[in-house]
Amino acid sequence: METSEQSTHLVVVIDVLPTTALLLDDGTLYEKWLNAIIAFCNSHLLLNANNKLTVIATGCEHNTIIYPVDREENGNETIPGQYPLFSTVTRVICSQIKQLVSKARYSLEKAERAEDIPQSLMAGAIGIGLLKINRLKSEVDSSRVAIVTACNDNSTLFNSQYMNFMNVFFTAQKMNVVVDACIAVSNNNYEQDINLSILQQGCDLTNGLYLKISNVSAFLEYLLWTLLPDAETRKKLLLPTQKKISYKAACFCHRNLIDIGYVCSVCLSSELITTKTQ
Amino acid sequence: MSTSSEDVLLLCNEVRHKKNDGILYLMAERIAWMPNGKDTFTISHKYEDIKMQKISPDGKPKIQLQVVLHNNETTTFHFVAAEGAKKQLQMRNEVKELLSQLLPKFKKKIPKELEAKNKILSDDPDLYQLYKDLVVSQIITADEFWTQLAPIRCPALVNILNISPPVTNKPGFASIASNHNQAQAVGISAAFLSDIKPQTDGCNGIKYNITTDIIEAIFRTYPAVKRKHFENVPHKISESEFWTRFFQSHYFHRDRVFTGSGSVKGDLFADCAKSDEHDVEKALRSGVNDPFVDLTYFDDCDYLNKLDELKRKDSVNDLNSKSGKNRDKEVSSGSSLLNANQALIKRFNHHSYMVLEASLSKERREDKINARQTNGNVKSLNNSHKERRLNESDDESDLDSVKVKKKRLLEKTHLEELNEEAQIDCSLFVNKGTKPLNITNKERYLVGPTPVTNNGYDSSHHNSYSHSDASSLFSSVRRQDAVVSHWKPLLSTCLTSQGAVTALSELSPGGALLKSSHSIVLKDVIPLDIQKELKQLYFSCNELFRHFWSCFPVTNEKLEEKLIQMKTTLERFQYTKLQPLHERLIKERCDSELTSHILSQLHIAYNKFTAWQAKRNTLVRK
Repeated sequence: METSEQSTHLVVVIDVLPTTALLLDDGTLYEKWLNAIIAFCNSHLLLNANNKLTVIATGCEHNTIIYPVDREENGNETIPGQYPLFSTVTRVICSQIKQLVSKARYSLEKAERAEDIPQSLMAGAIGIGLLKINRLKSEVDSSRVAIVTACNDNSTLFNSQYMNFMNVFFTAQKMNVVVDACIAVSNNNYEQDINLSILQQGCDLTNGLYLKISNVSAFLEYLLWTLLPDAETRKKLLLPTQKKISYKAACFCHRNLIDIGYVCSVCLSSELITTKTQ
Repeated sequence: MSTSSEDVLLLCNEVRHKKNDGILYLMAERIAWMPNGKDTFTISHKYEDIKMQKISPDGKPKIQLQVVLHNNETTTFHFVAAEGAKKQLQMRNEVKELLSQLLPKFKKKIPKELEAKNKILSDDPDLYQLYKDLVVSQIITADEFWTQLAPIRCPALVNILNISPPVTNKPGFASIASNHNQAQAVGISAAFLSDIKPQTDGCNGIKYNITTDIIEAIFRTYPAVKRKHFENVPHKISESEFWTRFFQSHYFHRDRVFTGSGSVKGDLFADCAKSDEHDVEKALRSGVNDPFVDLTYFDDCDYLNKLDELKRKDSVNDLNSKSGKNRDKEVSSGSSLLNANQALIKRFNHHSYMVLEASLSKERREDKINARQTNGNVKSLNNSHKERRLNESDDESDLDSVKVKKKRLLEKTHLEELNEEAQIDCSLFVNKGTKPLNITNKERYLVGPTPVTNNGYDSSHHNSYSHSDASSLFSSVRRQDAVVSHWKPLLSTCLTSQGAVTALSELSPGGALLKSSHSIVLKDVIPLDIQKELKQLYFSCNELFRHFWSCFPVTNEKLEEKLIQMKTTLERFQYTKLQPLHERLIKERCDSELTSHILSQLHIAYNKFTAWQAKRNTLVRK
């Protein structure tokens, strides 16, 4: 059994943008959410000794590979009885996120003004992840990307990165890399049918899963149940599927998702048709 | 009785059909049969529906005549005159003769068309189904089907059936099609001679069945035969005699098997071969007016001189055959095989020459002549030049030939697209109606949609939490920092069993997240025959819709007419096809919503039509 197991390289992209409803109350949900992600990373490493893990944090200014890191700070305090790798992963991710968040706060306060609606550089993060996957390609049997975000935004988010997203998704498709996305939304937002259309499209393109979860306190369960099995195993499982995925493209003029538009036959850019009804 | 209004050409008593005795009538336009003791025809075939007639072979006890229709139905008449076999035979032959005279009159164009149509329908099952749906159920007439619907699926039909192309909004396209129509006539199959299958009639004889089509083909392939036919047939020999002789003749057989069998005495076609040769010679003399092709250059055969030689040989051969079996060794021994091969190749060439000739339509030939004449005395010059070329070597001093040559060279070497001037001169492109691509913001095309600074962002989605203003962003960042800085990863507590159970129930089949995977697929619910019928319905309906919508914008009367007609057709379709299916779906308790899409399509079309009609009415009133 051991030998037949397929080793997997998992790239986890964590969106650490502060614009999330999880931070609203006392912040315990956000902590839970982060804990769930770390537990998920550990579970992945637990599955197979040859499994590889890369964690990328994406913010509005930087994309940072937070695991693995070149050098580890403040020693190696291990918890007795725990597999040292797990405690290392936990510690490293935790400290890196803390660093990033304080850095982001610092830089924002220094700038003293918010230029724009912040959005994480998600497409770039996935790109970095694909590069990492390509580098470790020879060491594992399969690779995949898992995007975890807690941003409670409407579907127009990321549209300005539309082109970049499409590029990375098609690259992933070409590389046979499955891209999953798991979006945590707060309870009061769940009713509204908010979907990150671009991520939906990407997951569908790469045969990945797209999940939207409101029950953040059980976030880990969802992750383990749906995103942990690799592409081979998933064939044997009954997993949530997407009903309708809108393949709307963003127009180049107003970055809106459009139903009908003009498409340039040369560069495939799409332009909005100005209709009276809109 | 309907006979009173028609001319009865022949009446045969005592003709049996399916064990019933009756009377056979041959009328001006149809053949009909009436059983004894009745006053109506139970069988009536129009002559144009009849593909052919067959007769029972001589010597069979039953004297019969069979009529084969175009739809391959057959009707057999049995002649049972009481006077005996002789009388029966005589009656049968009378009918046969009359029929064979009458049938070709009605057989001019229709059979070919019908055959082509038959073939198209059998080749294209979808079209056939469409035909069944629309024509057989009389939603549209067969004529409409062939002139309007079918040509779009099968453009070749326009040529085959010689019908005008369907009315389209693109007059340019239509005119091109019709031009093309004129440009090329349908050729003759290369195998038409071997397709005439002779039938042995038992006693050493061979029977050829030839039709008008075959005769036409023969005439086109062998103009010499046509000439002979023209000269001889009506007054000297009968039609059948002519063809018998043709098939017996050496001229015909040399095309099929190359045997040196002796020619039949008094061969009508003896000089045909010679006249062919004459044609070849003429073609050779006229030469090829193309400096890139030089036939005289081939060194394996000196065409011009050899031709004379061959002719001499032929004449010698003729002499030999006339003077008995005194064969001249010098001519026939060494070169007989070579001669045979050459003759074969010569005939191939002759055939190719004729095909090429035929492909040049009359108009083009006329154009050519005109072009030559506009060059003043060029024609005569040309001729003289050619003659000189025939006699001696090429005379390059001829100014005209140089001109022609230069023109051809220019044609061959000069490509307009590669013209340097055109490439450099951008204004030329503009003149040609093209526009240079003018990109105002190149970046947009390279990186995609750029963030728009004025807020396209809709904050109404966030009822409890809004961060669209900067202050809330600051606060959220601070908040995040505060939360994260106090965060201690305690993984053992991050999942409660209760939470896990609710998550699991959501992920189990039937749970909130797995609803979709459990839905029933429509494909498995609907019975197969209904699926098939629905598919067919869509196919037919879409075809009609396509025609309906192609009428817009209504620019001329023809389109108007078609539009109104298509509308009524659609209505008829709805009531004869869609309604029954809908009722059936309800009856069988299937999802009656299945037809709703087609219905909505129909309603959109009707709405469009009424809108158009209202608009037109107001225009007319004005």
